[in-house]
Amino acid sequence: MRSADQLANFTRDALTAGKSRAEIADALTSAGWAKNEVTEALNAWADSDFTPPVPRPRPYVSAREAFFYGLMFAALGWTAWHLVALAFNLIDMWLPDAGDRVRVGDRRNMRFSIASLIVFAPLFFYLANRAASDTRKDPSKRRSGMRKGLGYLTLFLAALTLAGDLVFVLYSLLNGDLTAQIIAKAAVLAVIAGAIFAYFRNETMVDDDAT
Amino acid sequence: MQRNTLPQVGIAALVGAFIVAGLFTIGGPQTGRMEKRDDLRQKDLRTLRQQVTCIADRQGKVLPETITDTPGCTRSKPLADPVTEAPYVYEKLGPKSFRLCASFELPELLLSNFKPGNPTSLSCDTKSYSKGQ
Repeated sequence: MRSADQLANFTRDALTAGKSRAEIADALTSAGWAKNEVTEALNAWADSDFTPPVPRPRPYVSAREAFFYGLMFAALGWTAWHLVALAFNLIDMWLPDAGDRVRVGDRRNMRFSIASLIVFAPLFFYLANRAASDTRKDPSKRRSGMRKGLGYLTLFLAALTLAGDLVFVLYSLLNGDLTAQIIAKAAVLAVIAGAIFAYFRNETMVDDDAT
Repeated sequence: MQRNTLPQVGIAALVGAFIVAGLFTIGGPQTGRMEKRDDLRQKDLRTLRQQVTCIADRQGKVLPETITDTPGCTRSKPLADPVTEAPYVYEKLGPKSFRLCASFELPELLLSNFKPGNPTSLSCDTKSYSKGQ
């Protein structure tokens, strides 16, 4: 039996036996369980006098949710990637460094990015608004495991991008390469990653409040 | 969800702004077709350059006055623009130097080795013949 199962079973049995939450917490803490593990184990059951103890709703994973949120996050990833690529190519054209020239291949890449944005950006916004509407009607959808997992993965990647962006700016500064082109690219990347971070931070905060 | 409106509007505005800026900067389908036709012209000039070098190799290391059929140089010779059918221009500039010219639709996108020719509607790529030296 996994230790998480042992903990869950013990908590359920103790509540069924009429032990108070404080007594159960003391027993678990003195047995070496961490505070957050104890809190999580107790939060799995509703704080009521009803016996047997009433389970609280738990996060779930469904195939439909996997499809929906998988598509939504793929659309976001594709959109973010091509938005940055297009912005960087345009900045290269508008603020060329000495010796830079735009190749025909770059112009083709820009057209591919534009085509990608025309398809995937509206798809992401449609799915994000649909998710918002669904969770408003049925707050239990906020417990979707896929939604939470992909939301935190996006936050992780956005935070990493922001930190990497700052590293790149400082490196360019120290290296004497901080041109207008690099400043513009870093600013655009920070705005895009910042907006995505802000969006998913708000979403995950509401999701966490719902469980 | 209201508190998420600002980031979402921000991302949508960026997407819209960069799509418009991109189309405005690089042009639409017509410009794309022009680029492809110019690519074809550059490819033709590269083929002609190899043809000139091949002829010179087989004619005593001397650059030819005109591009002609030569035994051993069997590569196809695109002698005229595929769209306008105007002939490409081959000019022998000296014993070891020649240039090939064509009229491009977007000359500003050509590599810097292309220079205006005579007339200036032509863009020319000057090459050195170095075989046998």
